[in-house]
Amino acid sequence: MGNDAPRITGPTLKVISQLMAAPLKGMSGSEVSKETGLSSGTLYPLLFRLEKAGWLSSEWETLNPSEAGRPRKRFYTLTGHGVREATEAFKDVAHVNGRLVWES
Amino acid sequence: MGIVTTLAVAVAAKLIADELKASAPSVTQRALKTAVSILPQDLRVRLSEEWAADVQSYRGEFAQSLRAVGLCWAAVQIQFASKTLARYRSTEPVLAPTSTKTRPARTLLEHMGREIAEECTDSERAACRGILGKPP
Repeated sequence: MGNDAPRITGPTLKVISQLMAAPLKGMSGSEVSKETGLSSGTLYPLLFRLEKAGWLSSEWETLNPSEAGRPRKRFYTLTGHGVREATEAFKDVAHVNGRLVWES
Repeated sequence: MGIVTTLAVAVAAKLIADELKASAPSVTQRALKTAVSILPQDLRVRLSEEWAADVQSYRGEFAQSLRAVGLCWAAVQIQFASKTLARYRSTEPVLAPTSTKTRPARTLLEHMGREIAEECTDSERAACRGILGKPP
C-alpha cells in the first residue's frame, strides 16, 4: 500500500472533501454517498483505490451485530498521507458556486 | 369505455406495484449475493457485511434494491481494479528506477525511455551502444 497514487477526479475530490469534514469519527460508505450524491457503483471502487493507495484507513464500528440487529458499518478516515496528498491535489481546484472545478 | 380503461389500468398498476414490492427484498438479497460473488476472494467477507449495512441504511425497499444493484457494478470495478493493481505490482520491479543498475540496457530503453536511460552507468551505456548501434 502507499505508492499507487489514485487519479484525482471530480468524485475523488468530493469524497476527500467530505472525509476532511469528519476527520476523527470518519464516515461510512452510505453517509459519504448521501452527502456527495455518488452512486454505490462509483463510490466503493473509489474508496477501494484510495485505501489501497494509503490515503484512507477504515475500521468497523464498535457494535455487536447480533445485539443491534443489523450488520456493522465500516468507517473511513483520511490518513496523514492522504491529508498531505489531498491538500496538494486541492491546490489546483477552486470552489465555484458549490461545485469543485479545476483552475485553468 | 374511458372510465373502464382507467379503472383497469389503475388495478393493473396496483397489482404490479404490489408484486414488485413483495419481490424487492429478494431482489436486494440476490443482488447483494451476486455483488459479493464477483469480488476478489480476500474482500468478500469484509464487503458482504459492509454492503449489507450500507443497503440497510436506506429507507424503502426499492431504494435498497437499486443500491444493491449498484453494488454489483461496484464489485465488477473493484475486481478489475484489483487485477490491474496486481498486474502493475508484478511488473513494478522491472520498471522501477531503483533497479536501473541491474536491468539489461535494452529493457531500460524500451520501457523507460531516453531520459532515464541517460541516468545509466557508463557500463550500461556501453551495453546500449552494443545492442542498438547508437548512443542512448
